[in-house]
Amino acid sequence: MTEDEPQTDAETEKEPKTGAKDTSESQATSQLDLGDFKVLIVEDFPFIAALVATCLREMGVGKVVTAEHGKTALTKIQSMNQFENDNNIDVVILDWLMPEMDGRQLLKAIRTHKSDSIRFLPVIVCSAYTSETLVKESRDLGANEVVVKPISAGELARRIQYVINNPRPYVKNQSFFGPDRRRQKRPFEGKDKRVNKPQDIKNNHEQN
Amino acid sequence: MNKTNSDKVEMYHRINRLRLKAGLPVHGPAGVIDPKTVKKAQAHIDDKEEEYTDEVRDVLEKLSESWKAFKKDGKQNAEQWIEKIYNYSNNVKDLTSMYDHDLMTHFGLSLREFCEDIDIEREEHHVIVQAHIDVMWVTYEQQLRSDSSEKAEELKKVVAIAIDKYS
Repeated sequence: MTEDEPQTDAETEKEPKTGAKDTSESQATSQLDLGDFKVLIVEDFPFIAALVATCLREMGVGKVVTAEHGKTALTKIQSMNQFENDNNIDVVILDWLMPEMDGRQLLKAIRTHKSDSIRFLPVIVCSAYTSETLVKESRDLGANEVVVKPISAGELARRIQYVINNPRPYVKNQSFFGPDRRRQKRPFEGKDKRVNKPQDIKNNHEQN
Repeated sequence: MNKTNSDKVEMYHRINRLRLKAGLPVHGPAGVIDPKTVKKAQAHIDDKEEEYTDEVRDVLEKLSESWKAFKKDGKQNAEQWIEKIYNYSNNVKDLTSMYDHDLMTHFGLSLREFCEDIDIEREEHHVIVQAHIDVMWVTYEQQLRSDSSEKAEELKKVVAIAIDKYS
């Protein structure tokens, strides 16, 4: 599938898992159950990769996959996310500086991929560069979030929560494909859809 | 004004599949990861500090071996070795910054940055790399942590002088 086609009603109205809190419940925060989540860590330094993997497992992530650089990561993504299904990788945690294929190249390959279950994949860039340039560059290449090293469990959890709770619409123009770089105040409510008239986009932003 | 293809912007709104997968309805209050599990995860990071000494030694050894190989090979494979040194110095920086070994972080970052602009044919630049590796080993052997102690300032000066004189 190369385009984001509207989903069937059945998919759109999929019920939450048993035990999940109902929408009508009070504004109390709900606990995320990450047991069905699969997270890919792309990190060339085995010590850090193992550390992040254990952190994620402690937080309840059901499956953690690792790749030592972008090349192996891309192979894994292509094989696991070729088609949309429950076994897809859900989130990628991506180191920026790596041998072979670095974070920059992998992010580019993800965002330009023809498969929807790959190009829409949430990517959290994890970098030791603290400069504004890196944040801007990774955003311009389509990163969803940026975490600055050294990693703390709290910061990692916050970014994962943000990706789950506040997904931004994706924007495509001649030079960019990725999450809208303008933060939304409210989450999108409705079926999957694609708009391409400037007025529609403007309206969507005003509504959200 | 005529619209061209370059003006075309498409916006994709998608159902929040991740919330569904996390057991929450698509719309509703923000979900949180159980804070107790986050605390346990941080405790794991803290506990791993025990392995810091062995890990940093391992990376420093790989760094030194790559440098030796670079000098032995001459121009042959030079770029490949410098890339390895760049990556290992980045690993040193990542590892040491996690556990607040600031002086080692300083040298890891400094060497990584130097590798970005190194002229592999200039002997003077080789002196600078060697100076970095030497002070990193001293920092490791003497278990120097802070980057503002008297000894730390002395070692930082060694590298600064080498950079000033030879770059």
